[in-house]
Amino acid sequence: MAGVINTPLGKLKIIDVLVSFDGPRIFTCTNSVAKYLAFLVDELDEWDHWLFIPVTSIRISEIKNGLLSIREALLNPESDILFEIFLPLVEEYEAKLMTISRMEIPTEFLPDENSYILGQSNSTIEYYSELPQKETNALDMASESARDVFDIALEMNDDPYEIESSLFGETLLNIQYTMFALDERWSTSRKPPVSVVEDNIVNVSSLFQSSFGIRFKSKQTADIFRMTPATKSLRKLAELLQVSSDIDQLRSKLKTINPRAVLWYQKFLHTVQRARASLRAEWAAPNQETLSVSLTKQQVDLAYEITKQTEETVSTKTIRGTLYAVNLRRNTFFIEGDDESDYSGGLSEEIQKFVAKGHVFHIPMKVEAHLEVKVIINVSTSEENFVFTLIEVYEEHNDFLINDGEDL
Amino acid sequence: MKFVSILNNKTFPGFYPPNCPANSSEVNVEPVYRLIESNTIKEKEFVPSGIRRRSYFEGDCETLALSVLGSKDDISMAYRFFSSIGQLKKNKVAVGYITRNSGRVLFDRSVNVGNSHINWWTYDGIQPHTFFNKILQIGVDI
Repeated sequence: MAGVINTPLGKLKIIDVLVSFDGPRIFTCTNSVAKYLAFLVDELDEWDHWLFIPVTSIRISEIKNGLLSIREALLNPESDILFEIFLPLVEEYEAKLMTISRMEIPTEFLPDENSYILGQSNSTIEYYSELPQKETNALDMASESARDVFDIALEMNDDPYEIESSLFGETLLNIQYTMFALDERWSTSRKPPVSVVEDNIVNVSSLFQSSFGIRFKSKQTADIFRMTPATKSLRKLAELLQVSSDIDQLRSKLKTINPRAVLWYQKFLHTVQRARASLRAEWAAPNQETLSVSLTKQQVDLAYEITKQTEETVSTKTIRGTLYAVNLRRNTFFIEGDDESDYSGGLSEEIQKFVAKGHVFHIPMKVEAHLEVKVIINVSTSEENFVFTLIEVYEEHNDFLINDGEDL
Repeated sequence: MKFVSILNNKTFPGFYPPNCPANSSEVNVEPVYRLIESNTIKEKEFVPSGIRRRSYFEGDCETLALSVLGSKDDISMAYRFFSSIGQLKKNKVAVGYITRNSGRVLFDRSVNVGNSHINWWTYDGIQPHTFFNKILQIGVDI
């Protein structure tokens, strides 16, 4: 923060100092209602003489990019009225404010024609941020509010102070659901249990400039041990982020957490990837525990790939059971095995062709079936997924073979 | 040369923000230059803006530093820049020095006034103007 200036226009927070030499001389500032360009006309013995003109973000960008001189900005304000203000250097004096029309600005107040601001931009496009600066760090806020605080900063090069609304929404959702999934109580049910939701809900309490910063706070406050019900999940999330810069540590960590949490964390990393952002995160608990982490774009990419890593093995298996369903539109089957396992999956191309020629299955049907079994293992979580394909099927009583094209 | 007494214990005034100034160092720098208006060295022209404007301005650490230049070559650039923004009165240059006991400095290059721009935070009890002893006229001496 460069400072706050008390004027008859209100308490103005300095946004961006354009020229500083012995303090800010030309800067932009705001009172949350309007933005102004402030220009120091003169330093007198007992007063500083300023001009304040209303400006828009676009106009500020033009000044910062050297497209508009300070003189042009003063002579062509967004409104016809400018504010001439004398601010006292002596506390007993009152500030003086006068409104003047842009046509009435004495030329001796004005800078040169070539009063362009240099060096404010390293790129051809200078982005202007409407986001406020973060005023309180996470640790202080956690202590003051008795709530967990989790700050994340998506650092983007392209349009750094704004984010697509869908990506923003997904980021919030994925963080929240990663937290739910990191709570061990959410194990089997499709939806997180009410107790998990109630304990782990986090609210977005503010956005800040960093480049795009989001502050979350636990909905619930701390107990006598200065821990909230969300402290545990947030600590786990912070630890997960912390190890994400190291492949081996991340692999080990992923094996210890719920596969559902890995999936949601993977989704979160994917949103960061899609925002083309690097990531900084800081967690602080009311008990003063804190963790902060920074991940480059490359580290985010790598962590995402690790959460996705799978291995496949393919084998065949013969089973006996009852064929209960064949869906000709979706090319799927369902067999209840005599081994008390259920088998469902897709039809092989041969069986699909056979069916296309007019073969009809009379179900339910006692069958012997040959299946292709593909086992997909998530390397990180060791979770196994089985994918079955029906290759051959024989009706047990009629002894028919389907896969070679013979008729029933 | 004026006599400069060093009577401080290397602390900053109590109203400085915590950790201010950060990333700075104690060094001797000579000569240093400061643009001024008067023909004589006056204390009022050597007051950091954060102190001078304190009745209406709540500044950050940087505003408590005095801006000086470490190179004579940058004086013209700084003068041109000040002239371009309408501040034509600063057409003289005070020449002085910084000692390591006087405070802490940060070499803070500026696109507008030159690469030799220095922020100088003086310790409690130090009067910066007493470190200057010569005045040059822009257009005459420089």
